[in-house]
Amino acid sequence: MYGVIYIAIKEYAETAFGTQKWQAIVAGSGVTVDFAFTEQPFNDNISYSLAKAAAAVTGTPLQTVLYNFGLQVIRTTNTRFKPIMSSRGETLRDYLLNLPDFHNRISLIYPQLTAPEFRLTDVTDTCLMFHYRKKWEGMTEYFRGYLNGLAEVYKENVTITPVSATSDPEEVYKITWQ
Amino acid sequence: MQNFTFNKEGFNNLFPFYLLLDGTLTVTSLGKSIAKLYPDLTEGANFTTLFRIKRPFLDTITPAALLTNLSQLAILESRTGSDVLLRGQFEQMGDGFLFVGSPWFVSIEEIKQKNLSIVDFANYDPLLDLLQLIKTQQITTLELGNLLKINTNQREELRKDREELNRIAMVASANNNGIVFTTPEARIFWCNDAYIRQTGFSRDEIFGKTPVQIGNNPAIDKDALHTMIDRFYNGEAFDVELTHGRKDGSYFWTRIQGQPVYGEDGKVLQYFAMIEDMSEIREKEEELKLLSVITEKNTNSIVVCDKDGHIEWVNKSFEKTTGYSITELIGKKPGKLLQGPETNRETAAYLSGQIRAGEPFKCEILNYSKTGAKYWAQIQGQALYNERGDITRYFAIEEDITERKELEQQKEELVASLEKSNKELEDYAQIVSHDLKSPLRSINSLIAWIKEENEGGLSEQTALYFSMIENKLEKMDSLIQGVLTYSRIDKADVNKERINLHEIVRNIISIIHIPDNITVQVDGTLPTILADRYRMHQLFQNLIGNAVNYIDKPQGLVNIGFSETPAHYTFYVKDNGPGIAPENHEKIFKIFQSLIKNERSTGLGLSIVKKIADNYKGRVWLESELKKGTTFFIQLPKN
Repeated sequence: MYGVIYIAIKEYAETAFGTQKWQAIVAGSGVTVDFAFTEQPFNDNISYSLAKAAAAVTGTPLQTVLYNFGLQVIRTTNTRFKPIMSSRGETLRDYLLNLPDFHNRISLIYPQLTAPEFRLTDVTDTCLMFHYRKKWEGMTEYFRGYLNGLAEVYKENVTITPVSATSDPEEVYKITWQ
Repeated sequence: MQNFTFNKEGFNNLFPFYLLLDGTLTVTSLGKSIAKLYPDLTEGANFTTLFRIKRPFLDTITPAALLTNLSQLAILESRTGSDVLLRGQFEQMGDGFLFVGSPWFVSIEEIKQKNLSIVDFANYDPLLDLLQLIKTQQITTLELGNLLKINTNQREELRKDREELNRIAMVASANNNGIVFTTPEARIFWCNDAYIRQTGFSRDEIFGKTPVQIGNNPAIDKDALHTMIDRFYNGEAFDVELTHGRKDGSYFWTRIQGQPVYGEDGKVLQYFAMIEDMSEIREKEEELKLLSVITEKNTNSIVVCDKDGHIEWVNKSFEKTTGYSITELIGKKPGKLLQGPETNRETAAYLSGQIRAGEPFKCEILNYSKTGAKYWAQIQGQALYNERGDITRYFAIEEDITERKELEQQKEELVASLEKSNKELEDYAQIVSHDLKSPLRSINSLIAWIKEENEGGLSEQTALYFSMIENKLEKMDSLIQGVLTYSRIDKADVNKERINLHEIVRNIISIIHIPDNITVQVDGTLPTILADRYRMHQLFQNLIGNAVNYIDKPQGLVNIGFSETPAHYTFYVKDNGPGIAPENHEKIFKIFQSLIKNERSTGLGLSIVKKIADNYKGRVWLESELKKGTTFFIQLPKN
């Protein structure tokens, strides 16, 4: 199902920029994945290449593109794999708590997938720190979009604040429930 | 909450891949199957030396770190060589930790490869069944993938077929040749626009009919038609030339090529035929045939050379004239073969120069036949160019002009001989005149002396005789002068200057003796013309003199005048003299033909007039009525 990320990116780009631009983005990125299949491993590097090409082709700032990619990934996953999303928790908090374990399992199911690695710290009733172990630089906005997408799906009002420095080995987001 | 108690064997049955670690993370106990995967794993071994925890990522494995990750799925990876991952979870046991889990395989084949079997797994462990399930799924997926590939290939083939069909349909529709498709029973079910244009029938009129019904016509070649029909019903291709009828009853020449289209079962599905309009080609063939006959049968010699000047073809006349056969001529250069020692070098150089430059040529040249006989040829020819403007061939037509050349030669010789004779005659006339005049002058002097010495002593009769001798001498002198004049009138003598004829004629009238009973008058003003003054004077003096001399009326009248056309002047000299009988109209212009026995007439005057007029490419004639008078006309060209 991790190919859903590519489908989401395609959906976002075609909606935001049009089919012709999307074709120009794919050509510009040099990636050769088939955007029709959900059942294929995912690679952050491909998302990043597509985001850079989209920024170049459309003139949209790269950070905006990355944020929207992250947001759309959750929206598309929720549309296409709602039962799986639902199985991961009743609330955003439960979803996030299960997320590291879920990705540990994913790493076994998709050996070619460099599954993102998450951990949570400072978990309280109203706040938690969400850690993402960096594999690729520059993905801060992508995961901010991703987390906002989750908040949107669970219809919860949260504040998501990136708190880590660029040199840190992890992206850290402070998630606060209001 | 009730505590569970297991002995080692019972626990092994449930968790054959367990590890029990103490507070220092030393292995204190291990499951019966796990040792098969990691030979270094024994009781007493240090866990951190043998394993790293891949998930969740831990920089260093410490009891504290394990404690914070108890709730997570743990993935263990061997540090000592084995590539088998362990998937499980840690649970705190007193000061130490219990790890329960099982190896992670993605294919059933790996079980055997790692020397494990079903007995190494707990019965509740679903791994083997899941792997079995995956295997089944993989096979299904593989089969589906293959089916998909076949499906994709078929779809691609269909797409290509459709494109090919579209292309063929477009080509067939746009083709200038008529194209028809028929059923195996020869019923037309499709035709293109070209066929409709060719035949003049509409589609409705064509569809459902057979090609023979549409194309039959009175001029059709029955044999070719039956060949086509036979081949059609035998399911064979055919290629025939036939006349094809039109709706309006006319017909046109066609080449019809037919081809059966077979189905997979080998039966004819339909027939495809292309009808090419051959009218133009036929006309060109006819034209070519005609030209070919004309060329072949032409009495002139015709030769065609390639671009390098080597003979490619000649007609029969060429063979006949040159004496060479076509096989002897092909590949040779005409110049080298036909020219010889007496051929004009300049003409030969002109010919080769024009051919090299691709320019047309026309000349007369002396050639030699195979037997060495000389013949004159007038050659006319030019280069032939292709559409790109490159020279492809030369052709030349050669006319045998030997006879004409011989006649020309004879004529030249004759002219030269005549010129020589004329000169000799003229010289002769002058010598004779001079020699004759000399004794005449002597006789005249002698008579004068006799008369002088015997003045008054001569009888009347003797004086009359002397007078008669003097008259004869005078006539003899006039005659000799006339012969001399006549002989000197020559074509080369036609000097042309602007002369005022009116002045000349007025001058003649004032000089010649005109009796009182004769009036000579000029009608209008005579023109200024291009001619020789002396000859014109002679011409008019002779005519006017004759008119005055022969008038027999009491009141004589001579009129001189002219008329003109853009090309000619026509002068007349009219008198009211005795007139000239019609039978003498020609005769009087001949030398020494005087009609009247006149003492003064030499019979040369009109001959001189005619000769002068002839030399100016003019003519002289007369109109006359006996007893009433004569009019002489002299027509002279203006140029």
